[in-house]
Amino acid sequence: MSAQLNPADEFTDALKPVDIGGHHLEFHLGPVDMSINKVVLYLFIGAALTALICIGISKAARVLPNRKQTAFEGLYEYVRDVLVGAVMPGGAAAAWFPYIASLFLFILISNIIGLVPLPFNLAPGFHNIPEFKTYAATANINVTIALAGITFVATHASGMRANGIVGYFKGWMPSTAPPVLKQVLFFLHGISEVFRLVSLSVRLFANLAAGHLVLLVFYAMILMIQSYAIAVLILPLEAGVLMVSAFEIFVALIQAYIFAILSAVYIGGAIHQEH
Amino acid sequence: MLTIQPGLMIYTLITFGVLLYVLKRYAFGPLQKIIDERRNAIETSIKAAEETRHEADRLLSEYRQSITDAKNEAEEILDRARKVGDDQKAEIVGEAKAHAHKEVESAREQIQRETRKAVQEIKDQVADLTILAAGKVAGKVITKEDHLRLVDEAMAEVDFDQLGAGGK
Repeated sequence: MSAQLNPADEFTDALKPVDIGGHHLEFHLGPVDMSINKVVLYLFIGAALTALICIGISKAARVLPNRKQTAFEGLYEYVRDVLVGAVMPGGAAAAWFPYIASLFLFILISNIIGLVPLPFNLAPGFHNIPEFKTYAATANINVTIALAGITFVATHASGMRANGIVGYFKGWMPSTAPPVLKQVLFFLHGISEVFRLVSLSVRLFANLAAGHLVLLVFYAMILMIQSYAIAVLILPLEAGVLMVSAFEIFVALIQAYIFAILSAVYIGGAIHQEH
Repeated sequence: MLTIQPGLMIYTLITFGVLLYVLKRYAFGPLQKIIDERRNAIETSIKAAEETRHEADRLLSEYRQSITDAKNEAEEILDRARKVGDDQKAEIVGEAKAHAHKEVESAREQIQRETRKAVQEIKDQVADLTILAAGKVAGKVITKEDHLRLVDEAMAEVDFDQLGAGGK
């Protein structure tokens, strides 16, 4: 706890290798920094929690479902029929459903974890009381680029497999366009494909990072006003934190949904090209 | 915040890859299996219910048919019985009529026979009386042959038919 809390520092701090049980988890693989930092830990937590929840529910699944199972099956069937089934042809939908569903659940749970304050660092000089902080793996551009990269590769790989390499790239040029325009359109389509990767990754990262920044700014303002006398005055700030937090739950859900459905739309579009 | 760190991307890919495999193998697969099982169970139940309904419909129509058949048969039996009854009645009545007619006929014959006998007796008595009376009146003896001739003449004048009719 310090009056010098800088919201932006929270993001750079997250990239520093963490110490667990006295071990400084800093690794290097050639020139690549493979240290376990806060982002990696959050990734692991998100993945583990997603796996635990899903496996737990499906292990407990019975032919006659209880309430929890009905709710989870509702989500499952929603992803299968609406997110994937509606934008992909039948066979492709079955093949790509696990990917889209995993993407949706992983991003959703990572986003939600980002709203729960977790103790990772011990507060410096404060009687070894853990310092609870919020962070989201999906608020890091590297994570979202990697996830968007999978969709990017999946899109073009499945497009080429379904239409053939030549057929797939021919599909980038509308067959009705004049020959002169075809090259231009091909070039433009190539750019749009790259920007899909950028927009997909930046959208998720920026939304999550912005939400956390806003929350951190509120926290920082609460900490900066270190006076009991104006405790009453900081009530609106606390209300602000509450409101932004509530809004962030909505953002967490909507961003996971957008990322998943856009992935499905891109892959579906590449398989079933419009000429 | 915007620092590019290839290590993080690699971690993301590995983490997500493992998660994808685990979810596909241990969560979505079993869950889909359960959903499919349920769908099959529901399908089977619906089919069984439909079959039962068809069977029930079939049985119902069968029962209806047999009830109709039974009704028709009962009516037929009744009709036949009625006809038999009517026939017997007609036969009995006919027999009774014939019997009565015969009785009447035989009675009539007997009456006629008795009448003829009576007439013959009267004839004989009248003849005897006449002979007696005529003998007394004429004071002479008339031969038997004369008497009979006279009686026959007298008898011819008497209308016995009217006497017979009166004795009927």
